[in-house]
Amino acid sequence: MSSITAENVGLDLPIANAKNLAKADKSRYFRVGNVHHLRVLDDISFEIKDGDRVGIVGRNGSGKSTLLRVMAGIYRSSRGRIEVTGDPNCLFTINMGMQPELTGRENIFLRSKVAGRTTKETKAKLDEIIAFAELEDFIDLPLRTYSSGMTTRLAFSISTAFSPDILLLDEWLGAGDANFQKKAAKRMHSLVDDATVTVLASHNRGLLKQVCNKLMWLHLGKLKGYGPLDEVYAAHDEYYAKVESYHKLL
Amino acid sequence: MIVRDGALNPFKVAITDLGRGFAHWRMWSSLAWTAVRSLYSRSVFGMVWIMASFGVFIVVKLVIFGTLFGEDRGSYYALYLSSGFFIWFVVNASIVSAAGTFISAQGFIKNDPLPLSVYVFKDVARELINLGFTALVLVAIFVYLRPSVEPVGFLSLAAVLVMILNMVWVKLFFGVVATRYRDVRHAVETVMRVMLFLTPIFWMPDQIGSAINVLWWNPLFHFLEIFRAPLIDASPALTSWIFVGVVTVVGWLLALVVFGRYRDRVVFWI
Repeated sequence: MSSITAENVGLDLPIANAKNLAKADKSRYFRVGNVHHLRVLDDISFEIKDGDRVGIVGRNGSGKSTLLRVMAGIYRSSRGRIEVTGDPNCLFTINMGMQPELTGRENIFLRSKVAGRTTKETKAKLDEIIAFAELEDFIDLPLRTYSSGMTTRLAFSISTAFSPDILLLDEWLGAGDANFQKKAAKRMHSLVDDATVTVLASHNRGLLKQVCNKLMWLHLGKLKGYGPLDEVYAAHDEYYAKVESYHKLL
Repeated sequence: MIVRDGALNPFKVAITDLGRGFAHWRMWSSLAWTAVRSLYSRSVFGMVWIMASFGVFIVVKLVIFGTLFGEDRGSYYALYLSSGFFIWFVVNASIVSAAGTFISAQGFIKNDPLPLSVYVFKDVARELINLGFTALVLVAIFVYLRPSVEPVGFLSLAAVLVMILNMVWVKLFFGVVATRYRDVRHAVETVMRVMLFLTPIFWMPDQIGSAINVLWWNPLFHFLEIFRAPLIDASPALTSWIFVGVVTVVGWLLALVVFGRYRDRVVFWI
């Protein structure tokens, strides 16, 4: 059983060395003492239940990544409550902790330890990880000798080797050439299938329609809509069409 | 508008983080080992360089300063200098690098909800690996000079353990403070450069006259003394132990409060 429940979650981000905020949107920027803050998330409430696959949409800077990081426990919210049942695994960056001087094989073990896996668990998956990355002939070479495509393939293979309970994705992950892209997409879909809850922030509507059954729409740090995918998309499109026609009038 | 951190008890936050962080020993120990290995990878002598740099340093210092002490006190000075520097190396490295504990781990911190103490333990472990190598050099010097070490010499092992305990709070405290205030790192570096001369390593406390009354308050002096005195003077250095005890307790309380209170902000500050 996995779930994520948020009640009136808000997050204020302190911004070090902020300058020239005089013209900034006063409703979102404020000062505590000398430190400028930006209200990145404001009064957000939702419930994500077992089996939900939630897409997050919104323009750049609307708070998608921030909300994901609050769900993951990387950021603690300034206000409100968030309750996460289950083990969240965030695939925000697949290259985290890769060491150029270590071999591919050593990197697999290191990354697995970072992910909290025992050596035994890693050994059981080792051949599969190497085979998936198609690096059998290079796995004992230092990572710095790999091409960027090879590094990404290995990073992807390691990052997606273990199926998480709660899958948190800041954009869909892909890697490598056309052939590998296909494999990677298949792996990603199987992760989504295995996970009890998926949350995916993306700008790719086709993908979200394919993967998700619910949609969360963020606008300037506020939750504008949450519910069945088609309904929220309809409201989303209507809103931005209105904004656009309004701008045309001006 | 006030930004709240909630009414969480800072001690509880800090201790929970430390406990959970320590439990990730597989991770921080391999990251520490990797950091040391990567530094010396592709070099022919590898980690032997850790010993070489310490050994060469000691030998050169002895050649220059040893003559000031004459034949009879020469070998005592060699023991004094090498055991003092053995502790100074790790104390200096851990204090100077403390400021970067979280800043250098930002790739992890921004993308993974791991307890922050993981990065503290990683850095402490890395410095202990270096300490292990320099210990071999120190043992070699002692074997070569064959001083008579009394049973009280075992207190030096306790001194190392207490030093490790202090390394943890130093990193917790300066790690957080230096992430928020970026001047701290440079201030610490500047102070530590001077401390090398204000701490009795090259010179002995009885050589500087009344200045010792002031320099006695340098905590690093006592961290050196509780290690060095039992080994080469067969003295337990009780007053220094008391001084170190107070520093340990006060330091830990300070670190727990600061770390517990601001732990959740670190990710926003890096």
